[in-house]
Amino acid sequence: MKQKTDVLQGTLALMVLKTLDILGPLHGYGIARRIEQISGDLLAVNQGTLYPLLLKLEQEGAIASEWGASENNRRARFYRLTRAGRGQLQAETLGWNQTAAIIERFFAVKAEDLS
Amino acid sequence: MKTLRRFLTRLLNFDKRSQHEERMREEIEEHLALETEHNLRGGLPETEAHRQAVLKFGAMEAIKETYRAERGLPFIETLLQDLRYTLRMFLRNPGFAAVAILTLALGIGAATTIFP
Repeated sequence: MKQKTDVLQGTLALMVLKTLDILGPLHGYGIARRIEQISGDLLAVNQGTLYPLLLKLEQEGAIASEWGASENNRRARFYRLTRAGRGQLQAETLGWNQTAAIIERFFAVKAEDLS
Repeated sequence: MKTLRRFLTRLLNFDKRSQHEERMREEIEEHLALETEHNLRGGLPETEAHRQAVLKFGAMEAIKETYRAERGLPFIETLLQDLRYTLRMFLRNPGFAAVAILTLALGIGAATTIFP
């Protein structure tokens, strides 16, 4: 049985921004499904927690929303990345890569290197 | 800058509360409907499909609270709620209200006179 880990708000925001960046405008349900897909079901997201996060991102100006028609012609709210959001995404991607690089260096260190 | 922007947005959201309530409810319903459809296509019976969708959504009331806390000014909204409640209680018990207000007034008046 695979263990599902809970996602922190910050990383979830990053995933939302990246998903919108790759796939273009999506509605809330679409974002939830894509995140599930991309993370390969290893991450359990209480899907509902996405909506407060989307509201928060919209109020910060990272994403914008408008009404549109989803599949089977239901009215849904579509979210898209703004320019500010794209900038935020790039900055956070940089931050993550740096963190990963530092950790990697620590993992690569052997006892002899430090004596 | 982000904090300031969010605060201003909250200020502006203050008088759009019912609209936003409506939006939240619609989005959640829409999400549950889509998830239920997905489950139905996966072969679950109708009630089970809906139930699984609701379970997967998470703690509904907690999420709604988080949503409401994001938008608007929760502090002032709580304050207003308390004020309205107090007013209702006082109208129901005018005698009690009179005594309470009188006591407070005397107390505050005395204190302000003694300590200028």
